[in-house]
Amino acid sequence: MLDVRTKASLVVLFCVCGFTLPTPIQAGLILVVVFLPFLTSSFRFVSGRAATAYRKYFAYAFTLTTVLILLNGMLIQNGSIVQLPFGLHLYESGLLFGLRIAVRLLLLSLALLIFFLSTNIRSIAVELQRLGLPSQVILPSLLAFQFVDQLPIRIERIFAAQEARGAPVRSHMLKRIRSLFTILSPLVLESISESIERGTALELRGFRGTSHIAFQPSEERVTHPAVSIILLSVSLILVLWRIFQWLLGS
Amino acid sequence: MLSILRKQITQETSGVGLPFIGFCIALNLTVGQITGGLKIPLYLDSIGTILVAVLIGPWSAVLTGSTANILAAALGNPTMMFFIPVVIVIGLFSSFVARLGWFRRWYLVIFGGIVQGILAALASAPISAYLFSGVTLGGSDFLVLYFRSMGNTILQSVFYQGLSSDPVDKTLSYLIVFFLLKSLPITLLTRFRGAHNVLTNHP
Repeated sequence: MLDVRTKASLVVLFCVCGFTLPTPIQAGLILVVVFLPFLTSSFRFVSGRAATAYRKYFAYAFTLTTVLILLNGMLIQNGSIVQLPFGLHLYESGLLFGLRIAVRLLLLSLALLIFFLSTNIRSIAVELQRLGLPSQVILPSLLAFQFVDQLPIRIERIFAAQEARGAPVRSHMLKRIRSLFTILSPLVLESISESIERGTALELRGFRGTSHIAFQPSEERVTHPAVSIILLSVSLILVLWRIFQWLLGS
Repeated sequence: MLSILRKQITQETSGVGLPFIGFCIALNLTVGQITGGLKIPLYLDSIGTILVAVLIGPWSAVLTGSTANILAAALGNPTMMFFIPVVIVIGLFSSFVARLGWFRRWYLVIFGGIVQGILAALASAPISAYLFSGVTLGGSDFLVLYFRSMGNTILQSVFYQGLSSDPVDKTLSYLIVFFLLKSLPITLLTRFRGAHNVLTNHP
């Protein structure tokens, strides 16, 4: 089982590969990333919701990149012409450009997504605290996750209430923009009141601006410092190699 | 330098500040749900950052924007993570504008929003062009492609795309924050250390 730091180092390596290695190797790495959750328990999704999010993103990203590759092939009119059925044609250089960018983007996005979907937010908080980040920086992200769960329900409720009151949520653009305000206003007001309550609760529990909160790890930590160092060293070597190549003008 | 920054963040996040930052991070992430529900073709994903910049301070705004972008990566939009420099610009500039008292007058808010939009476009263009060649898996990719098909370079196309959408988006975000703050009761506003940025007769 890999610890958060080692997993993060692996993701850094994948991202560096996205900017330094040739496209065919990046395409191979995409396959590795795609199958990582099924190959190792360290990258297994933390919840069913995470697995659904991954599947949704996967479908969205592949559809969009395919469209973008085709559009690049149509709109960037350089190089030889690739004939398609029904008299359609695409331009080779546009297609290749689109393909190169799509592969890089897929590798970066999937690597980052796999990391976040397979890592408990509390484990990340614990790791960030070990790296020396103050509680004031880590705590908001934990609070944000709570709000992220609650806000869609609140938005839905306010949306329905405003619609019932006759707010023009389905009228023309300008009126809809005005409706946005009628939804945001009660949402912000409600959340400020809640923030005041939570702020008071934190202060009553002894947390003031200067206090320190120790986040408890949910499981025992197994560290692999050597693996992290190797992964980060390889990343550094790749970056230096790319800079060297760039200086040589290739 | 780091200790000064830590001290500043500690001051800003005391009391109501910390939970409010949490809410504003979530607001940045979920406002897309509202614009999607109303079918408005705008991002408005910096409203939370601007609110924090006005009501709390610059470093909290930077923290809000950066955390929101990192969490957006966790929630299925991984390219956002690379645009943290843009939210730093938004957080710092919004706070600067707020300190100048521009959030007290609607016309200054519009002017600030336009400048913010241009700055955001300037900051995001090199990232989008050099890291992703203008493709970030968003709706704006098609606009970049349109500008490219007109013979512009990638950097120019990304910048033109930014200039065509960011000033409108940021001006609207600024205006929404302005009207939200105007609608808040003074008793609530005064709980924040940046209340004087909004209220005319506040020390």
